Amino acid sequence: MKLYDYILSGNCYKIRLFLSFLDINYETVPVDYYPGREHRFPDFLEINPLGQLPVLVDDEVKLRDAQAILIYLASKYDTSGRWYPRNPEAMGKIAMWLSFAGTEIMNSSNARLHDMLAYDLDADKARANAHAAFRILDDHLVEVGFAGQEWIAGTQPSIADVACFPYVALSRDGGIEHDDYPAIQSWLTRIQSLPRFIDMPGIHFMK
Amino acid sequence: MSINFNKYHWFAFYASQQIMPAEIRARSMWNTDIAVWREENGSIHAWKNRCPHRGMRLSYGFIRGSQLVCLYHGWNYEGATAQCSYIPAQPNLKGPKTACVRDFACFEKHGLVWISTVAEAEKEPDFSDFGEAEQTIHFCRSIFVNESPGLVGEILKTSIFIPYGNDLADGAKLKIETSQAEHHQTGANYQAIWQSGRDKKKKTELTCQTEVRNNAILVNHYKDDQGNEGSLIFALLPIDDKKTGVHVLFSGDFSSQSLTSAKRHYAKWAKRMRWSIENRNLQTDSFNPWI
Repeated sequence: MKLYDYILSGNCYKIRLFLSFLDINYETVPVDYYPGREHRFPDFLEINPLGQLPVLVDDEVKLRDAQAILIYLASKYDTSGRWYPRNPEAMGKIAMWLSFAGTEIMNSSNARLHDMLAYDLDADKARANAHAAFRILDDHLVEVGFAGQEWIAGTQPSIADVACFPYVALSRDGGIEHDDYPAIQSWLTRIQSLPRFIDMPGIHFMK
Repeated sequence: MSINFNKYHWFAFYASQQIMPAEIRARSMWNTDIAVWREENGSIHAWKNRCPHRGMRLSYGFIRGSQLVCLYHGWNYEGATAQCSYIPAQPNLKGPKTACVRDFACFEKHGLVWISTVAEAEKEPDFSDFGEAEQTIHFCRSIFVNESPGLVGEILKTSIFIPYGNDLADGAKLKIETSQAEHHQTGANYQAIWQSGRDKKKKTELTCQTEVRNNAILVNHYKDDQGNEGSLIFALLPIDDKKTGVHVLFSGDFSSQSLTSAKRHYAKWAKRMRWSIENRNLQTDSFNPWI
């Protein structure tokens, strides 16, 4: 299995983290995202015409989009079935939060790209939208927490948690603090305490 | 109109349950960045969130035993004294006396960490008659409103709270009998009619009495004609002139199942309250989350 990877990308880390949770061996193909912009050149565009990371190649299967890759990996390799339970309610809820991770939470990534890699993006608007998204996630975690549910889509961690985690955890790189979201902070700590958790620059081990 | 805050009072800073042993959390109070953290043995501390060495936010650091370690250069600070005790780059040097973090008085009560940034803070706030006698105080949630603390306090003072037991289903309406309203400096009395969302014919009369205590604590005793009564407590945290923290607590004796429902009930109310305050320009009836 091959992962086209960039060390500072939250979406690549998402896949590295999940592969670690599943205890799967793979090789990485480092892509010079910055400053080389290798993902915008023809060799990489043949792999993903969107020019985005990550891309996973597993035998004949080639996938782009971190959320799609999570669904594939959980469906194929998670023998416990807990990361992507096959029942309609869980699948619907997980799809809802995967989409949230790929849209609303990406505002946090945009603010970070602006601040860290000098991307020409409207950072103030990205920060405001990220705060709006974090508020929705915090409210959700508060409300399910009343009945003892500690994870986004159920009583066990799922790929919804993995998908939402990186760009929430990395948001401070883009000037978005977590101070107003105590339920999110506790949830981040729970993820960082899971067995086989791995770190990346900006996201550390708990202990 | 807005309520005033007295800096000599204690402020509810953080929910105790959200700071586990060896965890650090931070937020601002009156523009001062404050870190609150627990030693591994559970002792709580509130410090200025700034490393005396290079100004790093201490809340980015981590806890080892009774010490907070700054993430930047690993300087260790002892919980009890706030004094630098160890510098990894100078292992033989005793921490310099001047490397001392500013610490603030703090204590825990009713599920909250209370802090004061002035040395001469008054004695602990009087909690004696929160709710009915012998009833337990429950923490619901902390919620942050993008509006000034004075205005949030004033709006909460004159708000109507829907007692647990009343239906908050979609379509419910609240009609405030403003002619019955009485505002005064230390509180407000309000009466209102609550119309159920499920059964339009079902109407409940509500009475609310809000008492402003220590300026930062609002206690609301409510009653309806169905026999539901109790108290809601709002402990306000002035973050800065554009943001206010509201810790929502309530009193009463509940089974574990009804306690979960009650928390959901008041959390739903709190979200409506936040929307109502932040979107005042969209409302004709002022500060009514259920128009």
